Amino acid sequence: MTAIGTIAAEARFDHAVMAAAAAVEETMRADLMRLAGREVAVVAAAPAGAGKSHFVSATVGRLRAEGLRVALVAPTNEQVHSLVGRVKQLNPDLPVAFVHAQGRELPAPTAALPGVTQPAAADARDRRAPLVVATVDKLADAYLRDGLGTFDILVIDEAYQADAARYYVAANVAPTHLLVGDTGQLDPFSTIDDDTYWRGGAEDPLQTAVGVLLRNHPSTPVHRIPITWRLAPNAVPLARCFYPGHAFGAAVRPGVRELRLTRPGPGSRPLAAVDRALDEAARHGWAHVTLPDSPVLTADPATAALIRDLVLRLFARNARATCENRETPAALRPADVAVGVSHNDQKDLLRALLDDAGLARVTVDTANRLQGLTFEVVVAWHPLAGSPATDAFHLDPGRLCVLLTRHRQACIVVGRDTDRRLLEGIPPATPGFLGWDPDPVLDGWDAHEGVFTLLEPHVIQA
Amino acid sequence: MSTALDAMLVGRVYENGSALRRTTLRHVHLADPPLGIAMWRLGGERFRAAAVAWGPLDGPFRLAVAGEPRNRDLYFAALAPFAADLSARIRRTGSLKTARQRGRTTDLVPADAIQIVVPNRTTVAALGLLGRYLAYLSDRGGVAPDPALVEAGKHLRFYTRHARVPGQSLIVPLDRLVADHWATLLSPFEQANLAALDAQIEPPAGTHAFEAAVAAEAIARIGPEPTEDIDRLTDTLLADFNAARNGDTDPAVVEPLIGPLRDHYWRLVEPVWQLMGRVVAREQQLPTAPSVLRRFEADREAFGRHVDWVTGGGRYRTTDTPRQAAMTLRRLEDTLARYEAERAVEDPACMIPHLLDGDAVRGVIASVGEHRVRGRVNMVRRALIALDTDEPVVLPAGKKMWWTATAGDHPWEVQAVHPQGSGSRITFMLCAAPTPARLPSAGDRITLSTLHTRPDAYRLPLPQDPPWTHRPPVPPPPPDPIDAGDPEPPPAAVDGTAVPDPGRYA
Repeated sequence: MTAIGTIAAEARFDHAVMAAAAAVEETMRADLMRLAGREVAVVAAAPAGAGKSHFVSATVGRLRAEGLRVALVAPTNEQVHSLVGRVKQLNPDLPVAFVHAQGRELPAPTAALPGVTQPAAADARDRRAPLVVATVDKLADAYLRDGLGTFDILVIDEAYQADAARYYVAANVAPTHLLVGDTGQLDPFSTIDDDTYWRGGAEDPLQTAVGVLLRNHPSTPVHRIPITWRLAPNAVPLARCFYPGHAFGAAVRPGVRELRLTRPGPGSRPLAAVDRALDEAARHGWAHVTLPDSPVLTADPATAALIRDLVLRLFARNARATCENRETPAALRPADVAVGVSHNDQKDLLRALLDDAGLARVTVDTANRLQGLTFEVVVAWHPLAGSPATDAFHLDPGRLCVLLTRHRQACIVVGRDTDRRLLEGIPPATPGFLGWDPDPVLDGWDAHEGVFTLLEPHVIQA
Repeated sequence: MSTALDAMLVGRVYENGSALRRTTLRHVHLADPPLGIAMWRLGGERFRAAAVAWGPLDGPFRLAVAGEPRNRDLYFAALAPFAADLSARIRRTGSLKTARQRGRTTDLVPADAIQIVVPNRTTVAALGLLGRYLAYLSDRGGVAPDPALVEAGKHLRFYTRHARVPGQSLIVPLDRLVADHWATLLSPFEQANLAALDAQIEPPAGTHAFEAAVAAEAIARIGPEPTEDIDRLTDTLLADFNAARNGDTDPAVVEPLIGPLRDHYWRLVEPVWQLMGRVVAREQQLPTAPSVLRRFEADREAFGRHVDWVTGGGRYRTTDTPRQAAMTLRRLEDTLARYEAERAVEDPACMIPHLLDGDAVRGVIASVGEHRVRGRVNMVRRALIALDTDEPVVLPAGKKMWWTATAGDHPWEVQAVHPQGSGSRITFMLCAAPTPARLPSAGDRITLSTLHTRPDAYRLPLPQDPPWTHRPPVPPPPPDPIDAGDPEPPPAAVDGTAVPDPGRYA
């Protein structure tokens, strides 16, 4: 393996991939400027880690430079908080008005940035704030309740997470829209039993914001961003399982990112499997650790303990990382590591275990709340781990996609050695809906099979 | 629902030999008596009701049998009494209003609402199809359809759409009512058979629930789908009826000929009617959960709006607009969350799955104290409680939980969890100023959970006009009417006997 220090800065990136992505982004910006003021939209479909937030923030700066008033929204508060920081990072002089719900203020460091204000919706209206940032729901509420008024351009980040019902009000805010999103992530969902009641109909409130737009305006241009900045080249083949028909490559060249661990010391025999998994992940970017088959609870204590041991051992072996931005290896911090799960009770169990182990800064969350976030190392609790049968929730390709595409350096998947057998045989029968093609169960079945196959060389039995 | 709890209950039911209550309270309003409806369709024609039985469940039923339901004249003539009676009952009940005070606002809501009970969810779907068919009837040959049929169609459409509302009591499919309130040995698919459910609850003396359900399944015919044996018999009777009337639809000719078919359906409906009555009477014995009153008031409100709309000549769209769908989705989600919380908070048996899933904790208050923390601006008073649980629990700090006694108020936040004896000691802090009503006392055994009954913030109605993103640039052509109007005289009625059956057995 080549040390990063010996790779010239120029050679750390795949310039062909970067040039292709830059061309797509420039086309979108040009379209947006040209079409501003008309009832049209531009859609950007991106793979995981394509630099959507960077693109959105830079585009917002360009739109403001043209004197256009912009409303910038995303579905969740965490995403919007992050967007405010990113906009200010790329456009330090740009005033940003963050309109929020009660108790959803910006984190203190972001709020303290010069030019960032957190006005009430009525104040933002009275001052005709030129750039308002909010969640989709808050923007809709401010528009309806407080008469926030209209803007020139509406920019929606994570537009494949926003559903048509939320988009209904927000769409009134501006005539021209830029919708940016990751097609591989979790689709909008509902808690009601019969959430397929409207499926296939134009009125379906659970189709994505992009879905309802394209259904009514099929000629809307959809630009596919052909790059991933987050994922290393060794993660791209597996990530492609979630983006059929979407060609993309890693911005970083092979060997640029490196995860280093100290050797296991004497007395490490009881942790041999954990060490093998960490070594495999450090070397190849992937490890699939499997426990023996056993009937388990959703919040299986053995799986949780193994995940805790993996995270503890990662730090015990002084994990250090280099990357395109860091020539000398830097020690991983707990905040660089995340554990991804599918259920809240798994999250609670792991949170308590990691807190007890002194790892309170390691993020533990469900897939839908990890969307849009990046970490150096991710430990993913496989959705099918120990399941006696498959179902739509656990087969959802979006959930697996989120869990396996949050990392820059390595991802360790934890499951049971019989999980793959769940996919042997014939996929389950699924209902069909006129006017609605996607099938999350069959798509998930395909994606899971592809992932198991690609993880096969990295299986470590615990 | 916790899988572990389901497994435990199934084991207990098997051991016990009969079904066990899942709840200590009834979470659905049951009228005394409700209006029962049972229905049968033809095997080869899912969109027509071959027979409809209806009436207050504490008395005999009335029966509408078309004879040949594929003949429009006979079909409408048979359904007319049902439609007229249903519409009259609904109008009468909807017109008796009572004043309701909410803050400074007084409004009028119906004092009661017609509650319909049906044997199963399949009947709800069948009534929905019937309603959709009748509500949009148009003129034929310049003759307007019987207004009672159209009105009844609108009522049935309203009821079957309202069936989606979690916790509603306007239309109650009894298979769901029983499955929600009883643990049995039946799979979700088998639970669709009301007779099998009933047999598991009260098996004949000396018979195990499993055997009783098998026997009930073998003989019980619930409808609306006919089994093959019923269909064969119906086919013979129908053939005889059609041959005898020889294409005639005159009531004077048809009425004397319809007896065998009517007797056939009467024999089918009678045991179902008795079964429905027995099931409702059994469930009525269970005490009603406190929140049922609030939910039924919401039902009455919806019922009143519907009656006002229909009596004012209003029509319903065949499909929702994007605005209606978006608002309905949010309303259903809010209602579901509140219904699940109310069930668990009011009924200890319904809290068990949440305790097993780690969404709730139960224990004894070891101490109640108070300290001061920094609020947004000033130092504020906050209550602290220490809760000792019997079992060890895992809870992350910062998790918010509601005490079941104040589930509509402010939450408590987990501060710390430590081992204590064979269980855990959890320290909670109240996220509001302490008041006597908000505080438990030392020694109390209490439950806290992630469920709360606070109504969500008022959602504003969406703008009437959809944004450009939610409508095509050119409006689509209007769909063909479901029952196309025709200025010409109607074609000759098609009889079942005149249509060759390619699949008929030799």
